[in-house]
Amino acid sequence: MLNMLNKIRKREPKFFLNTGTREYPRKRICALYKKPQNIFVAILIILTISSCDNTFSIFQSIGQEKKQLGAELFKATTVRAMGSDGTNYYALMSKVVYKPIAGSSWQVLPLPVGDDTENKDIDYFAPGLASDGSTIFVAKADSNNNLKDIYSSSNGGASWTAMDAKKDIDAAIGSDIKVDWLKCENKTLFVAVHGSAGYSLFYYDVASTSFKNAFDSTISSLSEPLVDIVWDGLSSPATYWLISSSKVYSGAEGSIAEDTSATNNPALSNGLVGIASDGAGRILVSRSDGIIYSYLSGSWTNFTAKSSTALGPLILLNQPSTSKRILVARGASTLGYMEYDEASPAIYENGKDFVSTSQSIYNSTVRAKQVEGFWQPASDPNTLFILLATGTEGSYSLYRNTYSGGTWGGWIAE
Amino acid sequence: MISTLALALSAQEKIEDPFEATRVKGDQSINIQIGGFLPLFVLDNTGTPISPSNMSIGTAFSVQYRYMLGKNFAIGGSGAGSFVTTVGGGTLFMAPIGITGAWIWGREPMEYEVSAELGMNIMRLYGHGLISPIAKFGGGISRFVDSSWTIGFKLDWWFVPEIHLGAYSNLTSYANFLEFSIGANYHF
Repeated sequence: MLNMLNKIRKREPKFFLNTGTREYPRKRICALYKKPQNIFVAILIILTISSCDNTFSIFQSIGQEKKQLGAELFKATTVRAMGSDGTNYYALMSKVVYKPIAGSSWQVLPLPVGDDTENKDIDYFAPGLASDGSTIFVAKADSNNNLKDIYSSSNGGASWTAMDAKKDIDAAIGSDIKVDWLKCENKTLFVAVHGSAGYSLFYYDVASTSFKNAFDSTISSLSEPLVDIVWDGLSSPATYWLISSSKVYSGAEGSIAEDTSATNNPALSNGLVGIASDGAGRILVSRSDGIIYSYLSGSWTNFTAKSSTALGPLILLNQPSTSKRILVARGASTLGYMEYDEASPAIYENGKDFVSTSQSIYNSTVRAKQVEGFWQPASDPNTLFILLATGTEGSYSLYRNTYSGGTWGGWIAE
Repeated sequence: MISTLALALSAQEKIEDPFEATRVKGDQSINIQIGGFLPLFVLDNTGTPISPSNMSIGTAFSVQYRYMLGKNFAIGGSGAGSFVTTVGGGTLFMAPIGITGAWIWGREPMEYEVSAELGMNIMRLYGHGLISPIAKFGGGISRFVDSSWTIGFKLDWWFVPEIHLGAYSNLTSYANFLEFSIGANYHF
């Protein structure tokens, strides 16, 4: 009986292969689809082979990875600036966080609630942070991002001094001023702001204890954002180099003016993205077209870091001294950063043959993240931080790298 | 009355019992599996284990087509995908495609199989891609639930040799994974 039923089941119509209902016989169907199939297979083969990298070992790279256990407050955020007062490290996100240099726990730094600097809390928004090695400066804004004041502290935030920045800056260019960044160079505090009049730069004049226009008298504001400022490292005269998104400016505080070098001037409309100094008179400017400009002894030269590739912030890495590299962020595509060896010259990408870290650690820490900047404590050339913008939860935005025994140890999440 | 009903139900079950353990040449099936994916160990080019493997348990899935060449032996093709996360926060994706051979036997309503598969494996990690050969060896057990469907459980060993040539031959390594999955077969 069961065998009979089984035979019946075998006779059930097999609709998948019901040749009686076929519009085309099997061979005809194959012929109909042969051409598109070939094209599909060809595309598949080209795509897969073109993505192959014989120089990268997937399993050995994974085996070299290190578990990153950073602070939760650095996950899925953006670190925009760092500083140190010799006792603590400070990092700027929407608030300032700090930890002892030798410590491991990051905490939010309380700021004065208002004019009463004794009354502090952690409910604030900070658009700027800077340090000169012994004092930290923090800008505080209201809920509309308008500057409330800039505070300074030389004892790790135990006590604060209100610097009356709002009064000075409002008086110069109007109210509702928004701070873009703070930066200390050569122990001078600069404040980049924007308002209805445009973009302006102020510096803190210690002698008069007030904020003054950092540009010369012909420039009250600019139409394009200010990106960064560095000191060339030469003390007499102290010259600061500033870039907006389009032009280069230089000069002493209070007399900074547009650099009008006729030959190889880096100026590029909305194309300047990073500036760095070697501390000995050399200035580097990175651009969005992949070119790095170098200024030394009165003249600019340039070289292509990577053709037609948007760059980002950069830093000159002096360690190891036998193989100095320029670390330059990549502004698009896989983001992260590249290393440029001027001696060869050669560009290194995707962590391969980097002096700053191994390929495995690069891939699992920095790759595909937007680099906001690099930062080294002025007194410690063996420590390097990378500041990142991370959009995905579970990914850290601040890593430290330590130079020891002749090599950089690789990025470790803070 | 109750015993009569029970007998009737039993008879009905037998009448609807579709189990036919032995298949015949020309039978075909499509199989879908999903389950876990366990990294076992990785050897470097000298055969030394890379420790730790730094991979966590992940997920795998596969689709397979089979054609019976006889009452016990089937050949076919399969496509699969798997994800494992790494200790550094990365995700390793593997997508093997291959040809498969299986020896199938059973006794109603159960069906058993051992299988082997050879193919190519597309891997991707941190934007780096590689194509490697792959071999899978496994076995499974399944049960007919009606005339067309079986459900079951499978274990598959994935052997993934990552081959590098020339100056980079020292990067060659051999990874081993265990896929454990549940799935369904449609027979036609």
